[in-house]
Amino acid sequence: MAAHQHRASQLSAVDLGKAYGSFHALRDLNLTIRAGEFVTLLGPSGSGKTTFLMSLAGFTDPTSGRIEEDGVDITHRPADKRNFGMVFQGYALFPHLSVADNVAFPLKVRKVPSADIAKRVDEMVKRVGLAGHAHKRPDGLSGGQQQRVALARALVFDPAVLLLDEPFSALDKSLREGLQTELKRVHRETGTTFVFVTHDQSEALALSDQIAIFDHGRLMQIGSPREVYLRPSSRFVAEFLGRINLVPITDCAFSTGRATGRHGEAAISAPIAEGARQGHHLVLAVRPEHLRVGEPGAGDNALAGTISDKVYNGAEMNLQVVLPTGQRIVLSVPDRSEAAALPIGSEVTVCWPVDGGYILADDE
Amino acid sequence: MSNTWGRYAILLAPLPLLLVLVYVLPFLGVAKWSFTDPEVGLGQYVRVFTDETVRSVVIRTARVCAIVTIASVTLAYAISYNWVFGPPGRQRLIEYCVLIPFWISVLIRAFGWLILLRNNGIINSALMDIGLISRPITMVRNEFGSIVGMTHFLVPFAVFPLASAMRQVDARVLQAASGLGAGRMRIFWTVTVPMTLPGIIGAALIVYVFAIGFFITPAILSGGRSVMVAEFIYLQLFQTVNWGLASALSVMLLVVVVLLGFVLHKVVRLDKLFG
Repeated sequence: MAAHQHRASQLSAVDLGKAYGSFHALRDLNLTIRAGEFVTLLGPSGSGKTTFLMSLAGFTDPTSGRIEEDGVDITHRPADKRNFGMVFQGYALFPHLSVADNVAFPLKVRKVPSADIAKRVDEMVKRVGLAGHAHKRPDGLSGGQQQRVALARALVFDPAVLLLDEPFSALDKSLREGLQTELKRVHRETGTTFVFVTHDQSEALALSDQIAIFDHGRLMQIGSPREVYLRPSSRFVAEFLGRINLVPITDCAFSTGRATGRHGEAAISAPIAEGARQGHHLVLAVRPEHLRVGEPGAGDNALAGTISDKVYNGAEMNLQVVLPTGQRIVLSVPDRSEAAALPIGSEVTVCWPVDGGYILADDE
Repeated sequence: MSNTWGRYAILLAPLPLLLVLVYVLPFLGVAKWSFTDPEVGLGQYVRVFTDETVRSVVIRTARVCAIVTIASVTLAYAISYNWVFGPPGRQRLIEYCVLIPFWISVLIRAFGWLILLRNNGIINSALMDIGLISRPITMVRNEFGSIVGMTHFLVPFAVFPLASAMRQVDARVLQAASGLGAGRMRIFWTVTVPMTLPGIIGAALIVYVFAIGFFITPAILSGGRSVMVAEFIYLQLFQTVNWGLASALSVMLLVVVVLLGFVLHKVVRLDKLFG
């Protein structure tokens, strides 16, 4: 397949805000999306992620700040003059047009010669795997096929930016995973800047170069999937990205980039998050898959407790361990391992390397 | 099951019964006259298709109804568009403007137009006072007067099916068109209009069917100078006492209306039209 790389834009939000009366849908957003990156805007509903996407698309008029495309202010440029592709939630295909005519629409708008249109539509329809369906109306297609038409229509005019608003939310899980792989491939082939909105953290982790996490209209953190997953800067981000243990820590002594404190009788060391300071309520954040049961190695953290529950989920066994302080922690161990075979009530030592955990300010 | 059906049948029975008693049976009598008056045969139907006067009345009716349909649907489209897509204040205003005419008698509305449009009426006086014209423009007691009055009466009937069709348009589809680079005019012509086409066809057929049978409005506003089929039937019945011809024309009118109703039924689903 001839992958023609084309222009991709850098997008920046500068002090961007959107208020509806006294309600702030988006506050003081400063964010740069580099050219050609796949950036996911992640957050619960009402977090401001969709407001930001709609501001980028030109459908929502920000009340403060500005949006720049390659340094040019486009804050108030009408949607139809932005030249961005967009895939809508629910696809928003033209119900009165065939697949081919849907895909041809943005080219006709741009007054591309009709011979060119036919060629590019044909190429794009093939590329998204709908070769035999070009003449069909959208209501004759499955959800996944409609999704591909929406993608083809948004990409056929080689936009410098592609905006995607929860494109997979209406599809079932197996179909969604297939389309995710395809979307990654299309991103690689086109080199276009992708801005993708979702509330699904695993989708965000799977797809993105950068994840921007929103809550209550604010950007909480931006970073690579690994950064935000392993080094969340706040309790909200830590919890939103998947299961995590949050264990209160007292008497913390700080050294460079690291702190040592206590939970009950046990001493615990871990790297510290930016913003976590002496005198704050601090918590240790550690993901269940980074914990294990057994003898601690040199320098490992260790907590003794009792297994209080076991839940099997197919790939692994989740053990719940109660500590003498009453704190419960969850760890996942491989099924069929020695640890997984331990009965409820067993006394165990839970341990993990110092770098496996992370000390956060308890912001809730 | 059959019990429920029986109960429904009893509850629904008065309406069809009334229709049979006051419409169907009398109309069968009218249909009978068309074949028997003044003599048994198809003579009156031959006249309907050959008589010069009848032909001119039919052609005028078809023409006036076509103009009225185009004018009503165009105006109603603009009104519906603002009603459905406009800001809330405008939506309220349009609701009242569409509903209020329903409460005013067709007779009063026709006389209202007479007062506005006649030679010494408000419009002509105003235009002469500000010196735009020196002699009054004849806007009433002719076809133009009928068209204005009928359009005014029929616009609300077109607004409802059109507004209903527009409410079924997904706003995100319009947003998508804009996001793909289409300006407002292009979105209107290539997305909004095609997507509301069933509503447009439905509205046009409804207006045309209503317009064909119009009597009072054209009678008052054309002052007998631009006679349409309904008024012509009235004249045949009560002035020239040619009941046979009047009956034959009535039957033909009914046939046309039923045919148009059939087309309407085939082209658009009625429950969707007003849903």
